[in-house]
Amino acid sequence: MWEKASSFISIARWILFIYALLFILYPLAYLVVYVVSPRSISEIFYFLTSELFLSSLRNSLWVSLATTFLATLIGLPYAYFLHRYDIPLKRIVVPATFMPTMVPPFVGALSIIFLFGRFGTINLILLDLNIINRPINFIYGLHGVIFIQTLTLFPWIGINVYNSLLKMDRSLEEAAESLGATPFRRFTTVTLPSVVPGLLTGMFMVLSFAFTDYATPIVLGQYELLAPQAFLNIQQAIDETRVRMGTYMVFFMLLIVVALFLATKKYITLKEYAALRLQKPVEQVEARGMKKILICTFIYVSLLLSLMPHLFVFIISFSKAWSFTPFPTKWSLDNFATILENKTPFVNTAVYSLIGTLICFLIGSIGAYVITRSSHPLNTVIDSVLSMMFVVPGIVVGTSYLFAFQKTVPIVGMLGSTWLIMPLMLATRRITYTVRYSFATYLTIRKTLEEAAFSLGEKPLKAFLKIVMPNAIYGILAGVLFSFIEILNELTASLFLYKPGWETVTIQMFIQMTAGKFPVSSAYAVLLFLWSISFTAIAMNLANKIRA
Amino acid sequence: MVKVYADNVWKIFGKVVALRGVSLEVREGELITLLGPSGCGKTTLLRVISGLYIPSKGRVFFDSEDVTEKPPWKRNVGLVFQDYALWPNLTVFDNIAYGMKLRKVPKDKIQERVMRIASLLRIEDLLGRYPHQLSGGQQQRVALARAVIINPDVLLLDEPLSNLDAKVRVNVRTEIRKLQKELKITSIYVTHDQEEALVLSDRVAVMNEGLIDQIGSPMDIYYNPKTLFVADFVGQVNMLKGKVNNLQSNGMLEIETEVGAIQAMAVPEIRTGDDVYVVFRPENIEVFKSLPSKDYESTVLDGIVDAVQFLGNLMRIDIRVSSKTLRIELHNPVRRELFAPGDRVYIRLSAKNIRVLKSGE
Repeated sequence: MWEKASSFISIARWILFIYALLFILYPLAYLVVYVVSPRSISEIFYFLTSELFLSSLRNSLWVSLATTFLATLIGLPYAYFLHRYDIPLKRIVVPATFMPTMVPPFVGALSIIFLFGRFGTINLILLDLNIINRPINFIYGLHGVIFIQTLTLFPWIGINVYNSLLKMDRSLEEAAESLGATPFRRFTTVTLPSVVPGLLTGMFMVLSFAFTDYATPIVLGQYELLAPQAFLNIQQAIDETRVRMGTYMVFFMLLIVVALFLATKKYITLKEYAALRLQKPVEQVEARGMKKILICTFIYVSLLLSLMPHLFVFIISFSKAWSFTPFPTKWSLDNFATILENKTPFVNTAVYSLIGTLICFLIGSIGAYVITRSSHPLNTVIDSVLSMMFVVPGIVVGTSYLFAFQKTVPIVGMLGSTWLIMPLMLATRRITYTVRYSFATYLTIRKTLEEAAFSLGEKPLKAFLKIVMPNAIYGILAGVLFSFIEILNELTASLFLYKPGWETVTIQMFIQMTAGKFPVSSAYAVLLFLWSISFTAIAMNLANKIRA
Repeated sequence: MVKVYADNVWKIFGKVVALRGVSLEVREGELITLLGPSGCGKTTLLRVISGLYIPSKGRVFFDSEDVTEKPPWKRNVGLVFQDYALWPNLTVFDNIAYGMKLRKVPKDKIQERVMRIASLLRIEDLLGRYPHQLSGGQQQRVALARAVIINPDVLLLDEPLSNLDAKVRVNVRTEIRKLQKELKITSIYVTHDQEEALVLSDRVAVMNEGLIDQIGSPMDIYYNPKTLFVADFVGQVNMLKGKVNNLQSNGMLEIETEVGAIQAMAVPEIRTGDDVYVVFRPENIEVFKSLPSKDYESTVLDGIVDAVQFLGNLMRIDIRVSSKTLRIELHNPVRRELFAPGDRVYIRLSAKNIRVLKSGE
């Protein structure tokens, strides 16, 4: 094939391979070797049988399974109703569903404390109305973690199922109807099976996130879960044994997530996830009367609940005085003035996200090109490894980078002691979006376009830049923007890796929150939320342009 | 003008052998067509010649230069694709001028040559448009202009007319041939359409299962098929299994077939007792309502009309003879007797219109 004669393809392939090896496989391998080194075997046994581990595991499993169950209970009908029925303001509802997925869930936890805390808005209103005489514990406990995560994560299931429904061939349902199937039978025998890939992808994302998220439980003071235990053991680094304990927990979580991924791999549709279709006209049924009221109520209430924490963050961020009243008694912009005094998190976020996004763009767009346009045994390795980052939890990435690039490791340790490791890690963690969007876009570009250029004397690199890029740019940019948004919002891995002076906006948010400075933290969250929404709007616009 | 020579070319994709030692010589300025069904290897051979594929074995020469390992961007070939492959981000002018800009041709020269080739192909009014604003036929003309403007050593056309509707196809194919003759470019044209191959080519190479079955002028391929595959693939054919009864002293063969004894011209390599196929074209059968006269060279058989199809310029009649159905085509049907299903008829075959092929060829 022509690509064998192309130095661009071969060089790019080797750069990609080295990148994947150094920044994905090496840190993970380091973690695995660290955990299974002979010295630790007895320690692992001790750890696996310790009461702390067993109770944390029980709690984590309970929280993540319950969250997934509840998120499915809301997300599945949410997507189905949204797809099937003529919902008023649908053009706003669909993109609004995305919003909660764009901001770290612990932001939700912050608002929920103000809303549902012992002396939060809801309890105070109920007390004022004499409906209750002592505050209800809505959130402190595992049920609080489940509550918040369900609210903030169910849109993942909603979006993925909705996307599957968009792709479903309507004639399949019509065939079932023509044979006399009732709506319920049609749903269970035709509709449901065809949304299984989207449903499982969404469920996997929710389960994996709920299982490995440590920020939300920490904000709610729930420490007896695997993720917060691991985080505290490693981050506080009180003694080596505790660090090792934390690492075993991280490794254990990785095993569970990978096992889950492999079990559902057949159905998990990363490629399709990358090709979200939102504006395709859907054949809608017009609901009437009571049915319409119930369906619309369900959609609006679910959406409102998922957005409420994010909206409430706005109120907190503008509050000056607020204690034992349902809403703030004094408003001001002081919190924004406070956060703007310290420019470091903003500068860091800008620098890291720009460098990280540039890496995503270069590695992701060229990587996807090499994979789609050439055949080589290394391609499968590169493709699998780049895509794997989609399933590796942040806590694992953070821990493995922390160890693999520590000062004591020769050569690469140098990298870990400079801030460059932050954008590198962020890019690697979020590159999947760029790779998948680029991949999907290149598949729509006929190979003959490049071949025609070759025959006229154009070399592959120039053909890529002059012919492929201009035609694929919208798709690539959409992926790059999603990578960028996810880099902006990354917390779970950066929190492990940062050193004083390297704080990003999300890290600063977390620090302020754990220090009890909720309004300041909210001000950061508001800015982050506004940026994310703006960039998402641009990315979706671009994604729609490719389809047009 | 260059001569192209593919010498014992093999191309293997995993477990699929696409080319099995093909050798092909294309003379200077000649247009040769690679004709065959899907999967016969014709596009693979074209791509090997273009440099998009490197053969698993064998060599490719342009004149005496071995270009086997040369990538496409170093070969100076013009490629025209079935899907046109026009760059959507460039105007028609920029599409056509692309190759010349690469060759650093001065701007005024580019302008002049684009205009010349555009007027030859009647697309001079479209130069400012984008590909999506053109019809299929216009797009393919632009693709052709883009490929020939660089004065390629070889012009390679991969089913360039397949996406066009019937009328446009006829127009564009005439233009391709006109342009190729005018510019005298050595050209290889891939198609599965036998009519296209017969109309366009100096020579036709019929491919089957990764090999060239026969190569020759269009008339040679049509009238003297060397294999059953070629006979069957190019045009329509009636084919009867038979055994040579005897080789007569008058140079005739008597062959016993499923429909009775048939007289054919003797063929040097065929002897009495050989298993053979008797092959004849539908337009070479005469049909009568009453018993026709017969000489030593001809065979007369009787049958019943099975079906009659009127196709405008011809009438197609299926006639059941013994257990076999023979297809007959009558041109200019207005002047012929009309036949209806169920009619008893006689058919006459002349030995000079019959090809005898050995079983297994």
